[in-house]
Amino acid sequence: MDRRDFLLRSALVSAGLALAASSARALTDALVSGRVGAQTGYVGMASRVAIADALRLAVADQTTPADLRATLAMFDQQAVAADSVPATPAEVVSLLGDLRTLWANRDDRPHDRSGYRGDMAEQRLAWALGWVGHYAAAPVLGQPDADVSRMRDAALLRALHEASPAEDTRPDVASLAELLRVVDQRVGIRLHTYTPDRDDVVDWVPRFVAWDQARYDEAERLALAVLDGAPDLAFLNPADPAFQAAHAVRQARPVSPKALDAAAEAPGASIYARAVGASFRAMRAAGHHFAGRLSAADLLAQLSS
Amino acid sequence: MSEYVGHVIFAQEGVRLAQRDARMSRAFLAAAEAAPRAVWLGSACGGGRHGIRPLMAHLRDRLPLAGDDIARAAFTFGWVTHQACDGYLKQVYRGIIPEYHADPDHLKTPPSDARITHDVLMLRERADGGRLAPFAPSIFDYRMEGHPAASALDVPAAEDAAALQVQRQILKLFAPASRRHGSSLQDRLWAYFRLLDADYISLTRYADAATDADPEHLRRFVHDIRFYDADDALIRIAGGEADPVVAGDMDAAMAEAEQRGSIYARVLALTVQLLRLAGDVLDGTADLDTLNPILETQPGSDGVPEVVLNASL
Repeated sequence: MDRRDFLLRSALVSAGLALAASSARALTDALVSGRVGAQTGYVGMASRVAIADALRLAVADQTTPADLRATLAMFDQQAVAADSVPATPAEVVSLLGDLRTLWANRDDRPHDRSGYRGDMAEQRLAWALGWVGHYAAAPVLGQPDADVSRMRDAALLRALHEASPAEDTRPDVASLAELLRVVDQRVGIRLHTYTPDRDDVVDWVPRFVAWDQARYDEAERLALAVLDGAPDLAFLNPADPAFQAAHAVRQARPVSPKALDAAAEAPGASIYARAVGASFRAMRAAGHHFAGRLSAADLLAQLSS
Repeated sequence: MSEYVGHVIFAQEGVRLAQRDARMSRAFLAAAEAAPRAVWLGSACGGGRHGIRPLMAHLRDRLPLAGDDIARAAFTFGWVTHQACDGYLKQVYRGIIPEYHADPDHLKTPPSDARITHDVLMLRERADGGRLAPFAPSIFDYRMEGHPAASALDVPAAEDAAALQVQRQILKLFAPASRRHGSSLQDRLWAYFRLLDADYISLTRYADAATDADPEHLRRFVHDIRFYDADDALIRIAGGEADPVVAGDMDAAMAEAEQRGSIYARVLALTVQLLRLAGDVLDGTADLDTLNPILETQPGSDGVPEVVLNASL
């Protein structure tokens, strides 16, 4: 499946249409009609953190424009969840061009959460970078189901743990599941309160309640996968340059330009490292376009390569 | 209070009070008891002024409740307790930390120290230090270091990963943006920015307050305003310490709270009052406009008592 097919297929499934009933026209309509909150497959942690890692590398990357890095650092969440907004590469490249013009004509460039005179320019810029990062990583990550996602998430949690200085002890499954559930409570605190779907509240509430219960149930399975899962170096090899570089940034350790270049160009053989590398390369290229160093046509070509 | 933990604890108080209130809708209470997670979830949800009425309009024609409607009613129960907390306590916060609320640019870092102080107090006093579900005693630790399984994970990194996952999973639950917005990229982006739940609250501040509370915060936000008094009748009833309540006792305890109770007891009284109204609407003994004090919880307006700081002095 080439990238275009992949994207169209994603959009189609997002729109709830049967693949067999598709025509090229229906595919295109589904792609641009827009669906917040639609996505194919299960939303695992590993696919989120891979994009967040690419973003870390972009923020640390001196070849990316300083304005852009500051914006990404502040609106990283808008970038990482960017794949919830369907779009085409042409739309995103066009938006980047608009934002570049807007930036050039600004009399000041505040990096606060209200944006510049309400134009949400920083959020849109972060979204665009996150979107190209997802677009580039999607063919590498694929669309794993819940079972594959769980094994990947467990591999990621083990890799993060092994890379940290914590002492190594083995709790039982129930205890680790409870910890994961308390982590969810802490995430609830961090998000403050949930935003409801005001336009669809009667149907949204049961979906939200079912999601919460599913997450509660999943904690036990994820705990088991973390404790008993077999090492999966094909998915994530902690020795891969892309993982190493991103983890160094995560831990506020300095990362050399050479290590960043390696993360982009020779990220490693594992799926995770290749996803981070592809995503980082796309963000870099988008940064070059934003800085006027890469044409729209060349950026589009690079995204399609 | 009035943050995630405070809201969930208050929802639990609401269920315990409803269980002891002869005046409460049985159908409303039964749904809350059947689906406690839905109650907690509703209590942690904003936007109740827009969501409660359509839910009640749907539910009141569907008694006896079954299936998803039980979840809807339980969620609404929690949402009503959220409204009671926010309606009363936001006024309290404007009164006790005017310097925080006076900032025209809203640049102060949320939540305020007052809210954190109240959340920490409530977890200790009203959730057995975190031993009551869905919490754990380690919930306000810096890295959950007090949890027996914490050494199996890099907790901060796992928590960051879980936050990104939760944000994205929640977005996936929303109806198609195209149903209510145009389909331009701009429209899709505006919907996205509005619906994405920002991850912006620092747990370190909770950990600081839980390990070494600032005496000045305690004086200003707890003692001077008489935020909490374990001897208030309504607080004792909610905690199961008072004798089983017969008809009339709840009303007497609510009246006492409104006359001379601590702030916490007053919020409990308002919670019972609003839950009763919502239950009446569910039962069909009151019309949908009866929900108005729940949707517009302005203290001093019709059906909502004035805010009183330090009633004992």
